[in-house]
Amino acid sequence: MRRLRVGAQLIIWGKRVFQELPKILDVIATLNYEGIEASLEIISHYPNYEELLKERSLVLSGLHQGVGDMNTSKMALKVLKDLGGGYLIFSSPRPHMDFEKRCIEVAHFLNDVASIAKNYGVVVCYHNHDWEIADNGRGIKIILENTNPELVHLCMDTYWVKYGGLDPVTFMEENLDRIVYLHLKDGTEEDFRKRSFCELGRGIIDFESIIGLARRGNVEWLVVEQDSTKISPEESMQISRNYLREKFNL
Amino acid sequence: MSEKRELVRNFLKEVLSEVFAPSFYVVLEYHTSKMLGEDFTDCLMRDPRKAYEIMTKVLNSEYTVHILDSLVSRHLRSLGIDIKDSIMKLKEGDNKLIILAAEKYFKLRRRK
Amino acid sequence: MSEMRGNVMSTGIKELDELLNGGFPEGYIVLVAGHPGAGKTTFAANFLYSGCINGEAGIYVSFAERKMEFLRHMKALGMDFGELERRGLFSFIEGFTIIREEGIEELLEFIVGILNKIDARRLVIDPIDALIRLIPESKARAFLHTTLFDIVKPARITTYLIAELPLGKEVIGYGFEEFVVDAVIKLTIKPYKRGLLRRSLILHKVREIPIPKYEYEFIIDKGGIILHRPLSSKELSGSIKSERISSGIKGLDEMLGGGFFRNSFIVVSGPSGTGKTVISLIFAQHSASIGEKVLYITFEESREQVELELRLLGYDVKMLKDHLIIKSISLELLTPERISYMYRRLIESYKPSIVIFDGASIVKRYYTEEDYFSFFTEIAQMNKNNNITTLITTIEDILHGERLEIDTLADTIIALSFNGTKEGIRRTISIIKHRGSWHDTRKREYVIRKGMVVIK
Repeated sequence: MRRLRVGAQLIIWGKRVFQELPKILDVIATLNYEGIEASLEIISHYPNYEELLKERSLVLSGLHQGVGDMNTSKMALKVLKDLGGGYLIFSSPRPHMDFEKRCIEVAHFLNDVASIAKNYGVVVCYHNHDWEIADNGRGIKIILENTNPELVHLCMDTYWVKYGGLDPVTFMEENLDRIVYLHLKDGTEEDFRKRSFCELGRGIIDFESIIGLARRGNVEWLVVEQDSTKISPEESMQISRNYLREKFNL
Repeated sequence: MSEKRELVRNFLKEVLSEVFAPSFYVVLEYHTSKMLGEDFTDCLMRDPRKAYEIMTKVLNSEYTVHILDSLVSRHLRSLGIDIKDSIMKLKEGDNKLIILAAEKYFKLRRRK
Repeated sequence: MSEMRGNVMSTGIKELDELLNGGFPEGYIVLVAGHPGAGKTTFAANFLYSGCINGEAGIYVSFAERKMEFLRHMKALGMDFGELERRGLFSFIEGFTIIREEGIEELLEFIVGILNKIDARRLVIDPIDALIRLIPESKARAFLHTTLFDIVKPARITTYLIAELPLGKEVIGYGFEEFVVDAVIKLTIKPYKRGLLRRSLILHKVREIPIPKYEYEFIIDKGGIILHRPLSSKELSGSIKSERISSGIKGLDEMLGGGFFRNSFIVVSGPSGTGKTVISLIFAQHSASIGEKVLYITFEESREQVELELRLLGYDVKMLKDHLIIKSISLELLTPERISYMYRRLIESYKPSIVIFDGASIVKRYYTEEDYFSFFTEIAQMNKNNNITTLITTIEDILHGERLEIDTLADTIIALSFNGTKEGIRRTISIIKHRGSWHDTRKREYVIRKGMVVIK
């Protein structure tokens, strides 16, 4: 059981991160998020990102990359290592052909990166979308079965598990030993019909059970990831942060 | 020219080793030698665009070269050298920034 | 040795290439982990040699051996790397010298220089863990993961990384899985029976090639590594023929409904003194005398002893010598796969139509029951594929209830026994099994008289 830490994914700010990162980090720090999750592209845009984070007492919880490029992954590992470790999170687009073969290729890639990541003090996770969950979790089962369970972990995205057709709580229970990182994402009934999102606590995801499982399991980071919002990103992230603090004392 | 060439060569050897991997410069040397029959630094001095092309081939994508460039800029900044995009400029046929970076890098070293 | 086909790189080991559909895909990085003495260097040498002799240059970077030792060892196995070096197809780098004196960067530059100079397509680093010991760990790992990887992968240089597995350890543990490799092969050396050591190879992982995880025994002989691979069902082509061949014993031929079938597997079983060797020698000399090529293998006696017995039976050994080859094999220092290899070489060079194994039960004393069965299964399959009729003698007293382990292999089983009576000991013979034919089911008495077997 580890102390749960709350982080913010920068995706909600869109392209603004490339011009206004210092201001955005100010907001995140003020809202009492402990860390941020970014991409190598964003980080590399700011040669002084280390200082930017330190000045605001923020840490980099993880870097989110696409599956496939080993060299970029190695660079991401180096960046994370220089910052004292963290998580390297991978996701993959839906394969349109040779489903099983592609899933196995994804698994091999993850194994390869994870085997190197060990020496950088970095943990490799796979982040699900809906396609891996569809058809009773066919894709995610192939990926999990073909990856080394000691090296490759899961970043479970609560919304995408539900959107894919499985119950997030059940899925989390069944894979608790491999889940070390969570993307907290919510949606109302209507949101799930339209593939849109809402702030945490305003939708139908059972966060009480999810947080309960997270406390029992081996999860370290709870990262609020809202892909888009109808209100301002600052307001949205505040609502979600308040929900976690008031409801779960996080 | 040859003094500048040595400066750039040693700069690349040290900085690429620091930001990416030990002996990564040798990787570039190997592939340049295979593709063009010459030294990577000679290629960079003579035809910066070609040198950029080789880096892209070795690192598999322009995106990765861009990331590498950012990491180099970050490293230089940590040394007090404010030069960005020295590698990306090669794409435009411009090797002046990288030469300048090398000169400042070793000037700083000598001062220390 | 195999040739390179398309973008597949031969391992230099024929049987392994068959398993891999020609070899490893070009550009693969293969981790070869093994116990000391298991044959890793020879395995790597086979790989390089097969490339070099087909015009693909290769480099051996060694942290364990000096160049002269390597050249000498491999030349003794028939791989002349010295000659290949003179032709510019091979280079041996003594890695430890360069690292000690200059450092990892200089070593890498040196390797890269040679890779370019001879346009190498194959590379071996032996062993990789020595490299890690010689330089700081973090540098060594980064060198492997990034620098080496970024050279060999884009250039599609097929690479073997050799790693040491301490004796007694079976698991390739931390420090090796981390390498981004496309295939993992484990070579082991384990004690067998009677102090013999047995080498084996396991294909742990080969990306994109579905292979069974099976342990293949191998030996090291001229040419390097020879893998012992059981024949697959696809390779079983032979069957019993309808043509009859005489046993050389009139009464036995009658009991068999006309004699043995060509290409069949015959077992003559009975306790000591029942006359198995006599029956097998009569069959051998009769077949040789009518022009068959007979290979007589004995595990119990010397060749001279067998020749003496033939003379005592009244046969002219000199006259038979062109058609009867007698081989005496002592199993004392030979593993099952070594025997199997020797046997293959014998039938390849002599091309017999009949093979007789006298004293086959001795094999059980030296090998495990499983290996005994596997050995004769292989013999049966191989001989059928090569149109060879096989007769073996064993000591089980089937008629008194002893079990014959290889009964399922046999097309014909002849059981010999003793019966004690008031008048003395009487020998009996029965046909227990004779596939594809009528046979006499009675237990009949027989005597051995003046070099002949007479069935009453």
